[in-house]
Amino acid sequence: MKSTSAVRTAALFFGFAFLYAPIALLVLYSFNASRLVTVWGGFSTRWYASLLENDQLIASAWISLRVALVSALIATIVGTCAAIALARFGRFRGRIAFSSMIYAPLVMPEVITGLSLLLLFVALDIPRGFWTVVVAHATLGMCFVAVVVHARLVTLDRSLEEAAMDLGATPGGALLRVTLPLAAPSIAAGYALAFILSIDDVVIASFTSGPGSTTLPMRIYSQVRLGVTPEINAVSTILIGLVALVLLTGFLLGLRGRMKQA
Amino acid sequence: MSAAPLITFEHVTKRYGAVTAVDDVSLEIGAGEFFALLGPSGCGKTTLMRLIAGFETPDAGRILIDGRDMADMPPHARPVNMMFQSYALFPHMDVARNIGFGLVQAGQPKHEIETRVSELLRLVQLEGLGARKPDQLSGGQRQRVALARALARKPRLVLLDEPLAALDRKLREETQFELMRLQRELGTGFMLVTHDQDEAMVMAQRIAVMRAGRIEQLGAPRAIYEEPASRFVAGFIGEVNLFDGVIERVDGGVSFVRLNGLDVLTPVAGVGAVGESVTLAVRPERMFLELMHDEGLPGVVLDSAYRGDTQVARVQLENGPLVRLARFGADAALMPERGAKVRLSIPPDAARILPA
Amino acid sequence: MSARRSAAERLVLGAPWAWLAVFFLIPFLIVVKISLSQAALAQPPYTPAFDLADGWEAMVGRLGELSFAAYAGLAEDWLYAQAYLSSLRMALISTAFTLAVAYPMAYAMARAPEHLRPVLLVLAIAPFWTSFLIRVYAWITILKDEGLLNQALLSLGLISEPLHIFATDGAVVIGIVYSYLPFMVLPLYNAIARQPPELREAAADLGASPTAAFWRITVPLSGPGILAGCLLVFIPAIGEFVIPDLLGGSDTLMIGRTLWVEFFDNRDWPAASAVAVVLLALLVVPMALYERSQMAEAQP
Repeated sequence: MKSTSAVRTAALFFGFAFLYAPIALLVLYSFNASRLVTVWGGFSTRWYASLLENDQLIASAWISLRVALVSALIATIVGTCAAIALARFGRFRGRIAFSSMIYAPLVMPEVITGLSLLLLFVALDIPRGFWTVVVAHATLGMCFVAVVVHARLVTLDRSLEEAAMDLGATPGGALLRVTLPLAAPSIAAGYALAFILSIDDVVIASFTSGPGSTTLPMRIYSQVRLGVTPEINAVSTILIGLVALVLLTGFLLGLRGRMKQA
Repeated sequence: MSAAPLITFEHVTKRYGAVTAVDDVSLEIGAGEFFALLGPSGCGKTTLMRLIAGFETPDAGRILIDGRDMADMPPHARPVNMMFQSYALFPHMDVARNIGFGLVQAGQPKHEIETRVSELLRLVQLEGLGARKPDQLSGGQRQRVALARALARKPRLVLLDEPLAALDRKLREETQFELMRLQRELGTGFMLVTHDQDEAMVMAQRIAVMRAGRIEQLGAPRAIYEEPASRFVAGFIGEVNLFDGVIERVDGGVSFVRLNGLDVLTPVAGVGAVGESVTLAVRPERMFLELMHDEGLPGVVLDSAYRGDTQVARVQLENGPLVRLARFGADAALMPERGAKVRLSIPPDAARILPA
Repeated sequence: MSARRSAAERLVLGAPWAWLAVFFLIPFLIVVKISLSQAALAQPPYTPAFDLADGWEAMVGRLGELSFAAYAGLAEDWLYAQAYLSSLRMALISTAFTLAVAYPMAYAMARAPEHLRPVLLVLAIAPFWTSFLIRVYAWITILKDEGLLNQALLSLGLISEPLHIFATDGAVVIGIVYSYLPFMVLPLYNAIARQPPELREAAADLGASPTAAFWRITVPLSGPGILAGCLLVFIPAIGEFVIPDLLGGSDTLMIGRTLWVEFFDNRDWPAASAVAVVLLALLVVPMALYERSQMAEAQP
């Protein structure tokens, strides 16, 4: 049993190396003095400096942030409702159809989702812009939130809610005062997930956004197609740093929560 | 016990960080005996069992099976098999394949495996259920599959990890006798690991009572019950009443003990020093209920519990400890009610001196 | 049960229902409808265009103008079939490689000491939280002929000429494996970690070496996780666009790209819609499989 632990450690090492090496290289070369991304020309922060001048990039970053914040909020609210319905409403009519609609967008290729939403907006004669992207991202996000929150609701001890009702709470009251607070960490995780999906997305945004609402990934993508520059490395490093910060905070908070329990 | 021991522990110690789970244990288990490791949770019995199976290795000392040092022997090479507490049946295999798993690993030819599996299904009375999957069986049936699987390779020793814990009471009793019968017929060594002293007393030929990583007493059930070697063993096996006192006189092989606070002199077999403080152990069923109300130790019945075949009462002695009284069968009817004033005495051969 | 549904309950169920009906179901119906239209130089660039302002009767009249021309076009041009097949091939290959890389990782994570597991999980999932686009971009600089991988291999003397990986199907596979790895690791990890350790011990007790126990007990029991992980990679990978666009060559044929080109470059909306409908038809079975497996898991 013990003899394979060396193999397991190796598997972990190579696996994580594979996962993180490209990211590490990306960060490293963002400090490349040379303009050529693949030739190291010495250490420099010039690309970060030029980022500050890149108004277009900053504008689209701002748009992305707003889209993400709003769409994630909508996604969390509607998605949590869906999770509650799936977890607590038993066998309601149309449950299978409902459930299929929740799980389908998780795996469906984004080009299909993006195309279909754009065609909807065209058919309804809705001008594409900030809100169409928000709606599109919220649609995808709510499915992820629903799945995450549902997974948590299903493992919660029902007897807690039953105890609340036994003590006089209505089913709705028990839900609000007992279930949702207990599910709060996963609802927060759902929000974070929807937020990140929105900030990352390029395909759906390309289909559903309009003039004046070019998101950051769209901007990065069009620049990448033209050619690689270390400026993109710099933007990427900043984004990675942000995500790492959020993750670290979440992890430490989770740790503190666990230690308080112990 | 046959001449050469099957399992030998030589000064075995096992630590987990700061905790010493098994503390310098030396033990011999004979081939073909029904042995029990008995103790409360945390006493080290599970660790000892896992050391035999090979899932743990000792930090000090040696473990020998049939005289061979098991130092570098992994579990899959040892002639020992285990019946897990959770049964650990492979959910994706049916009963027959579960039972035959060990034989497949041993490389036996298919038709031999089939024959042996049928034989085992008959042995544990699960004929016809070979094609069922574990989740289609009841708890008792799953246990029998686990047992059959552990017996398939004809091991020298079968380890039974809390085998009766998940069964309801009636099934427990039936299974106890089943296991004893099987062990006798097969002649395989059985080692029972349990915290339930009933199980150990009924089934085992020898019991090792463990506490805090050490063996407190090793012996046959009768010896452990009648002659407990320590306060712990006395209290762990069955119920016991403890009286502290001082030896006042020694005459022949009998010590006369003046019980603290009580105006009585109790004769006890065994010789000690005059003036020595001792603890006496008296089993509840040996406490004598005086029907003549002027002899014996006075007390009041605090509560009385009727259990059908037994009746148990707790009596608070004036100037003395709280004492348990037990009566069986027809005598149960003679048990006094709550609140009754009674007198109890300790008959001459009822008490044992507990070593310090 | 539904009879005594309170107003609040109806809202909780109704809100997501309505949202998905409007923003998920109806769009699909529209895609189907557009696929039955014909391209036109107009705004929107297809005909017939249903305009509610024209009235119901006019719209019904226009139904006659629907045609299967777009689908006929798909069937005639061998390129589309090639694109579908090529996407299928790439997705299968990528899924296989992802499984091969993810399984040892997931297994090692599940067998790691209890207190390390949350950390390992976060580390395995963390890349997913950084931008997908960024990570694919990172591979461009690594895989190019003058890129970092070739530089390293050349300087180590392992090769004499740069490996031509960038702008080939191989680069796309690497990109897909890399991007979707967390999606495979997570279900695998859950499936393996869920197995009680006694099963492994029982197998060892009964004579199985660690390798035998792995292949006869651990892997078969992780079946549902393998299925979920593979579907989670395979289905979106078929329709992948960004990865083939950035890492693939001009001859890398993937249906997601075809759809994009039809829509944005050729402005042929009916064709793009037809491509989407056919793709969806192909994916219905795997998607249903995936949903079945997830709903079975989610049953309390």
